[in-house]
Amino acid sequence: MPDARSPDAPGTIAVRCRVNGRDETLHDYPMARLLDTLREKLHLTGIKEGCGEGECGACSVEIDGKLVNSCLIPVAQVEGAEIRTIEGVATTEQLSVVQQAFISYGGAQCGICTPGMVLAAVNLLEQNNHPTEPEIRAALAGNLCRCTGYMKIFESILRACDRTEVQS
Amino acid sequence: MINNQMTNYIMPTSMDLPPIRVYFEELPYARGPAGAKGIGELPLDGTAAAIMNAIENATGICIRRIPMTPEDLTAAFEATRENAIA
Repeated sequence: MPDARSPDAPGTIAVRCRVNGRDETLHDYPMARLLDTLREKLHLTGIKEGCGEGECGACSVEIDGKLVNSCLIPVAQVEGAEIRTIEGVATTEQLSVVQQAFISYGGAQCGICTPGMVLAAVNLLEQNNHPTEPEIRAALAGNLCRCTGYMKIFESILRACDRTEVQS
Repeated sequence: MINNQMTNYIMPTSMDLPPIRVYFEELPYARGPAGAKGIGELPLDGTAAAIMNAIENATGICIRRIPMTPEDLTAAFEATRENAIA
């Protein structure tokens, strides 16, 4: 089946941006969701679609350092932007401190919220090395989890702070 | 379905939840091996019965076995109709 979003498909645009430290040119319709473009074009499938309407945070990515729901971002909006996805959190075999803490302290159960949760946590810790529990709660308010009741996630993040001063 | 989208399906966020502490009360169950009793399956037990009761309440047709497939329902409806005609 021919790809409707090949570079010369009518109506598509070329959007240049950096994704996880690499220069990329995304060819897609201007109003395509960043979520779909990143998953289908760059195969960054760590980004999950939960609700598709900006409620759940499973599709969280960072754009220029800000955590956003990629299901609500049209691809035309990311020209020149610096994007980081969960795939950009640990670029070697070594997990980031936050990822390891989620594994060690039960912060992940079914896993659908986990990429967004980890990214939200990393985003928080890069701005605030030693957040209090209320600060963690506020930072994760846009990421819903139905399994854990959040307590194990808070604990994982607090433990990750104990372990390091330099965040992933 | 009342809550067919996340916008009005209100679920607790990290801002809403009180601290949760889990305690296990050790009460040996006389009929289980080594006093054990399963806890994982309890939420499943009532579901099928509740759906069957709902179907009986809505249609008057009572089905008493699972799985309850659309074919089972159709057969039950047709049997009821034939009885009504006969």
